[in-house]
Amino acid sequence: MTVTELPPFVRADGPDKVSGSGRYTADLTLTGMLHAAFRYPDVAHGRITRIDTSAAEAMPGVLAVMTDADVPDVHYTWAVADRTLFARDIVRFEGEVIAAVAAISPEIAKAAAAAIEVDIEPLPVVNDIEEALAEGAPLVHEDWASHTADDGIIRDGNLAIYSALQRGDADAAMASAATVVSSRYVADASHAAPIEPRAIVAQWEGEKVTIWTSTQVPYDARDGVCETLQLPASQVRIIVPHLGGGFGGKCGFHFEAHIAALARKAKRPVKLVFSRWEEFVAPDRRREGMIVELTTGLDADGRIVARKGWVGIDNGAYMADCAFFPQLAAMHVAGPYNIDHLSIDAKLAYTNHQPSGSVRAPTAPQGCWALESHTDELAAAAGLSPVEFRRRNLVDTGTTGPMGQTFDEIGALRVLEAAHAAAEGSGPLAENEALGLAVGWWPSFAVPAGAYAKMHGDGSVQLITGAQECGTGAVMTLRYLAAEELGIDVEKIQLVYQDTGAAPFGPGATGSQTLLNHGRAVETATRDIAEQLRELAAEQLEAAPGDIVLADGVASVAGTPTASIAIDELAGIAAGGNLLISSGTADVPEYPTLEGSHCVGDQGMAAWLAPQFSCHVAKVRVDRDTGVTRVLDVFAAHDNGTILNPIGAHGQVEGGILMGVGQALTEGTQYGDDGTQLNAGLLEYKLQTIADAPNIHTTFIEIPTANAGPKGSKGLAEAPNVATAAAIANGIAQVVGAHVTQLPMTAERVWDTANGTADQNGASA
Amino acid sequence: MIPVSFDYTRADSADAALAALAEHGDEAKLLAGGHSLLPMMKLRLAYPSVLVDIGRLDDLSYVRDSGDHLAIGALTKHRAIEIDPLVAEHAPLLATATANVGDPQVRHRGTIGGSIAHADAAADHPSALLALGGSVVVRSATGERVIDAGDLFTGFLESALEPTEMITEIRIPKHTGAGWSFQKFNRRAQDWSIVGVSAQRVNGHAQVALVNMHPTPVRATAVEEALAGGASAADAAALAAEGMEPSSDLNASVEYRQHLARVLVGRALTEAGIA
Repeated sequence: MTVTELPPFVRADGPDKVSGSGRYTADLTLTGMLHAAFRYPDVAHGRITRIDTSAAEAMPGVLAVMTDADVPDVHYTWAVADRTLFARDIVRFEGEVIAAVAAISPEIAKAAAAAIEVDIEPLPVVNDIEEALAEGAPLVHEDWASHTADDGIIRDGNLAIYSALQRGDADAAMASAATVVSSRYVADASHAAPIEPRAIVAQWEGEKVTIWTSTQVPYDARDGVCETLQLPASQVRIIVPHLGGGFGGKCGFHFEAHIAALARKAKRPVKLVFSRWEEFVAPDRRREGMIVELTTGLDADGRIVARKGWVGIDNGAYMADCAFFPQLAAMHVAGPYNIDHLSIDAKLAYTNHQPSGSVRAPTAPQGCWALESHTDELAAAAGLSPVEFRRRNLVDTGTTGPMGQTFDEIGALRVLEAAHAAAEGSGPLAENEALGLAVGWWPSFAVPAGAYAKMHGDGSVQLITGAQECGTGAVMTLRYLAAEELGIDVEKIQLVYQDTGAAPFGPGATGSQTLLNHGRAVETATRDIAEQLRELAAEQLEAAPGDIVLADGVASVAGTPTASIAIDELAGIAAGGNLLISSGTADVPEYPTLEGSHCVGDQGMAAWLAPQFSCHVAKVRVDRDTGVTRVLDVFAAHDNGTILNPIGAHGQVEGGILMGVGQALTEGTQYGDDGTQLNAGLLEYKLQTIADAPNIHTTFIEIPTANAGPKGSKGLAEAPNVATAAAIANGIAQVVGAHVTQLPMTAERVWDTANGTADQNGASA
Repeated sequence: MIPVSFDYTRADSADAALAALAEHGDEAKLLAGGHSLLPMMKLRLAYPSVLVDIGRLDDLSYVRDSGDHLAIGALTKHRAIEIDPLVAEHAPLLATATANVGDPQVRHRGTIGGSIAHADAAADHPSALLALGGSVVVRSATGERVIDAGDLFTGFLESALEPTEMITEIRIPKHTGAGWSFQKFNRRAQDWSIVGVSAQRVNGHAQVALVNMHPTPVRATAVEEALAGGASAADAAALAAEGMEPSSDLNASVEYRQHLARVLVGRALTEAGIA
């Protein structure tokens, strides 16, 4: 089934990236440019008793050394302002920046950073979610109450944010249940691990700074610089060259202000290029470790009557963008199921770990893994197959979700049946093979975005947006939307993006919203140009503007195809008079209302606009003697609304699934007792390779969705990363006879589970 | 990370390389494919002051039939061994172990001599060399000698090579038509072994060597002796971890490694037809 209206196309930036001709931030060199290096603590928690930069400053070739004393006194970050650019008095994680150096070579900069004398008195390390939340735990932020916070934030001690979802009377309903099942699942933290370690170049001209940076969100980066260096937006310009992947790891504001401040002090352009170790430990975008405890009651027919849950989330040392994580995680463990009586508490805990942040579908792969493992336990307790249990309990069109949202047309049951049928039809299973099934969901995020469009005198078009290409290729589709509105060949359309000095505001590449939001803005802007073309054509052809059709590069009168004029010619006429220029912003769709539920510490994550549904079935083969799991095939069915770019959509699903296989089996951040990462490198942090990749079979259930993206589309980038680990988990459990309660499900953990020797509590951070 | 600074010289002949080694002694390291040495230097686990590049000594890249054994030039790339018909016929264990080294890019750059000289217990080649009962020819500016595989690996990343010596040739006895097996456990494709096993049937008895179960590449002596004493393959495999001192690390605990060794040796003996 397809309602795709755009022609299939291959992304336009492919040749540049594959051939090496594309330029990334680290490729930039400016006249007189210096190189930056940061000084980090060698402990995860400690009190700075002395910093002496004099030896570093005296080194030949060093032009600037900075610490907290050299920047404005600003506490920043979203929701809770708990952070300063440079560590002040206390260091709270191993990747915190204490000082920065600019020197004439990277080697001198690194040597100078090492020459800064820093005395740190170690403090007790908060290394675990439950330890952090325990009575009397050492505080990560002793002065937490002094950090200003948004309204509605509930916090206390190491509890950074508390949210709860409540509906009905879970206790009473649980007491009436025929069957009650309780589970506990523990997921390790993991990483976005983009192939390009981040790079930044900053150059001042007078009072204005231009910053080239590998960010997914140019406007967030600009706002962070403005806030921390106390500069007006008019003096800060962010430009993003080619970006070598992000996966959420390059969302947010990171080190742009450090480098801008260094460049100002050194009076030279300065460049920072991270090492792989820095890319692992320093950015505030690690996928959060999570503990999930669920108790679910079923009636005699295997229908869910009540669910109670507790979710603990590792925030790390500072607030990045995790304020909404507790509520989002609570939604994921409530799941896309009909539950009238629900009570889920979710707590985000400060620890002395690297700050967590939005990595592709934050909280979802872990939450879905816990929930769907639990769901298979429920199915077994009810004596139902996994698919039949879900048929009885999944939400679908017209039903009411766990928080009281009534769904318009959605494909929850259809993705379940499609993936199940594809997997069942794939042939017999060999010994030690199994099909594991999981259902996931993910919201679409509608926010404001703008676009400019202009048609030049030769009929070519330039689109200028705040969209950012982070590897998904979604921006490429913007040209096709414009071409269709204007009735011209897509090759005539040039896309200008990733420059806050040129583009209107856009949220960038975050939250699966490049098409959803920027696409609507581009449609609006180009529709305006099309309207202008129609008026111009109407004058030339002596017809009514409403009768003018724009197609195949020609404006013609409907029903009279001989009365026509080339759009290029119209553009030429306009170039001598009223220029074809427009701007567009799109009305933000209204979020659904919730009925019969109550949110504590509401962060706006309980009402889901245009929810996306997916079902993954993983065919796994488990070597029971060693615990080695091979994922042979993944059968995926997705409801992401209308699919606009099939090649890109399949690529997103395949990439999301392979990322999910890594989260399921081989990744996972390991911490030492001192709170430092033990596997902060690509040798020990086991990303999947293409040789590990399963065969992936994807079906899109295309439901044009109202109140969403262009042409009935929803988001797509994050959804494919939600259900894979859960599907693999349920396959493993069928082979070994028990659920692995820790993520990643490494071979050793699978083997421990098969032998009944697994640590049921797991490492909890 | 960035290596400590070093001098670089490219040798145009084996004699020139050996002369450079004689001049610089243990300050110098030979650079072949660089796939073990350069990462060590970047991690600053090795910091030679002189690199002697022998990568262009094409006359040390060959596989030859030398009667009762194969002679393989030390600078033969992994990929060449992987697809060599003589190796496939007479030492298929070596071909398979080689095919399991890294990824295709690594196998097109890395050399067998470099891999063996690195003496890494986690590498695949040393175990194959041990199980096949091979030897290496080493030269210095003053002479040449042959070292049996069993005498070659002396400690953690240490071999019997003197600083002034280089491996010029690897000799593998022909095991034409005899049963063999190579077992590798890793956490993802194209990665180092967490535990591995090379097993070769030789005139009715078994030669078994382990990967990454001990500070050095090592023969599974307890397994071999049990088999020689008439034990069943299953009983012998149960002794796979005897005498081994595996490390516990991020990839596997000691107990798990011991378990893996027993499982993989059992599978290797079965596949090699060693009862």
